[in-house]
Amino acid sequence: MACTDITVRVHIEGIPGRSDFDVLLPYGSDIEALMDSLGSIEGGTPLKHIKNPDTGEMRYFLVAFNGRMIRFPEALSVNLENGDEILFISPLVGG
Amino acid sequence: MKYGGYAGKILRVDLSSNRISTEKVSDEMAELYLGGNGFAAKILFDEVPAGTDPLGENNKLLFFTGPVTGTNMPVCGSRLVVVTKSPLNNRFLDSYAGGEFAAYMKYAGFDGIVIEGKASEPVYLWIDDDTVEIRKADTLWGKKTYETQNELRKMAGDRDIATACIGPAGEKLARIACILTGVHAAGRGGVGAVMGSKNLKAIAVRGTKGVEVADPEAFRLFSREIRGRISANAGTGTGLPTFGTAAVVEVNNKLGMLGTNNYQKEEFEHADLIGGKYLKENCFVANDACFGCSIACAKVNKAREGKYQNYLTVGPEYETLFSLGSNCGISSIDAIIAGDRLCDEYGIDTISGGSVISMAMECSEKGLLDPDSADGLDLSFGNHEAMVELVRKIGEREGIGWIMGEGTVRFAEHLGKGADKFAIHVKGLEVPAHSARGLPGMAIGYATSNRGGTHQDGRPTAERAGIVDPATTEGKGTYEVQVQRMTTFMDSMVMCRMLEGIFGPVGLTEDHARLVKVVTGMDLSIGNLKDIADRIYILERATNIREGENRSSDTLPWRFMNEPIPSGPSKGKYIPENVLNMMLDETYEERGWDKKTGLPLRETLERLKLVDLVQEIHEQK
Repeated sequence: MACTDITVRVHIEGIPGRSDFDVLLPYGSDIEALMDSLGSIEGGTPLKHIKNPDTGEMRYFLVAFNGRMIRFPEALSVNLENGDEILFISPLVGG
Repeated sequence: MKYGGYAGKILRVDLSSNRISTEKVSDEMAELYLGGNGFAAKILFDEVPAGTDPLGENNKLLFFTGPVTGTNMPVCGSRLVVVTKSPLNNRFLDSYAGGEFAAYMKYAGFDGIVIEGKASEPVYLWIDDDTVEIRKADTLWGKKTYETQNELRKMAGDRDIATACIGPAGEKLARIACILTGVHAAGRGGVGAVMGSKNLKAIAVRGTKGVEVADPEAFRLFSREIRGRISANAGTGTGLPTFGTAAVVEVNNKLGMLGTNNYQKEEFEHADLIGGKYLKENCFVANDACFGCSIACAKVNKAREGKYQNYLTVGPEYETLFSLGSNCGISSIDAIIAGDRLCDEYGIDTISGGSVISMAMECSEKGLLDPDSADGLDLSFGNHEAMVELVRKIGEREGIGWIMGEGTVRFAEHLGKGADKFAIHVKGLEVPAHSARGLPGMAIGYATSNRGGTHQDGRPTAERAGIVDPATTEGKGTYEVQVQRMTTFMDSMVMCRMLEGIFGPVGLTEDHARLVKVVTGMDLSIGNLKDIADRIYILERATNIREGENRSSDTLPWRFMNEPIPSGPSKGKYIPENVLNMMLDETYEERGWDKKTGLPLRETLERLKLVDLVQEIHEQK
């Protein structure tokens, strides 16, 4: 890993199979860049759950960035640092 | 009737006189109250006066369907509403269940069943289309719910019937007793105790008629469109079908919004052991779906090892994973599965049951409840054996289980010494799993619910998904009124909450109006639907106003208003009194209620064609 790279921990709520990913990104990346990277993981399956690949429409409306809830589109420009945790929160609820 | 979707008849059964009768549903009733909870709220208000003992002969128990019940509109056809005066908190109560019962009831030709009086001995009601009989239930009394329902099928000689019944908890009048329909529960507020007080063990129904909608072609097209939108939605298309409602445990915990140790904190270190993913990988047996549902959010799970091995349950749902799990500090998924199954078998609401157990654990921790008073049980948080044993004791009403079966408020009165601070309830109904401190809209939704601590009037969905900003408090009173109008409408159609992501979770939409049109033929605007919802909500509130409800009733548990979340991502969040008051002012303003008293204003009553309520409500001032 180059010294300028960062690793962030991603959890995508409500998807079948693997839901946790450690994603390697260039220093200075934001959540939009993270989503681009998710498009190259597992054939793009994680990203397809978050964003409709046909229409580009967001299926998720919110992330938790180190526990702080931030809505899209504001979340897209949040800068990431090494060790950050990003939860993509599904539009579902219990009961 | 000139409208589609309705069976057009209400069945009345007087258990005191054994009189069975039917009455027609009028077009005007449908225009004013739509159906389901709307019809039932009107009947309860008109026929059960203030001061009625909820467990007495004069209370009524109403089972209702909506116009969409029994149709194949996705996720709409299955829901049943049970309405009564609650024995838990002496208020208006509506409680809902999925399954098949409501559809079969409609197919037998009834929009609703009104149970009156009290049988002199245990009975069950047998409905076979137009044939309705009150039958002896002496061989069923004392049996648990699964066995009871299997016996009813044997007695009918037909597996293709639908059943609703109570277990031992309802027979013994536990105020947190529920009604089981198949494997689904109308859980809240003690509906099971009301059924038990009438010596009514069960209702079994066989129905062979259909439902006619107003515009079959428009219905078919809308149904196909909704099915597509359900599949495309991340929640209903993927999350719920894969994990059920258990899906939200892990992230709610990561957000610091998972009630733990009787809501002393909202972060559970073992959340990953009780969440949807863990259940799916370790306990999952099969999917289950309610009548006509394309989501199939119910998951059959089995305990794997130890003393609970082979316990099988449909669930646990998110609420139960909280109430019997994190909120009791319990990380054994096998114990939670066993506790869930036992609650169903005894007929106990898992939310209220879990809440009174977690309260007992905190009272033990604080020295208000010693082991001798707790039948020798070690009530430390995390003791799963104690949790399972307390479920059994509540179900049997044995030892300490007797008073715990009365719910948290009466349990606190019994314990004294300030135990009321550890009773986590709103208006006497125990609070479920959605954080009031973390989600301000949910908080005002709890405070202004007519039934009390429920997540089904106000909703957490839009805040939790980020569709509205979860961080703000200003405007949340107005916002939650819009949500409550939507849920009141849904409860009168009677639709499943899982559709809120499809029709929109922040209020009434053109989709709701379109649904009414294709099913019933009523061409209503969103404004018309809003008026219907407001009319019903005021009727429910008026039922409570007669019992003394006013602004001071619209409040939250002491803990949520005085103790900030102590740790985790939501550390420091709470709802102080001034914030609650600000949101209440917004609520009353939006609803046309008096800000000082919380009573609907005269002009609001007149606008909603509730003029007959003016005198009744304003006499209470």
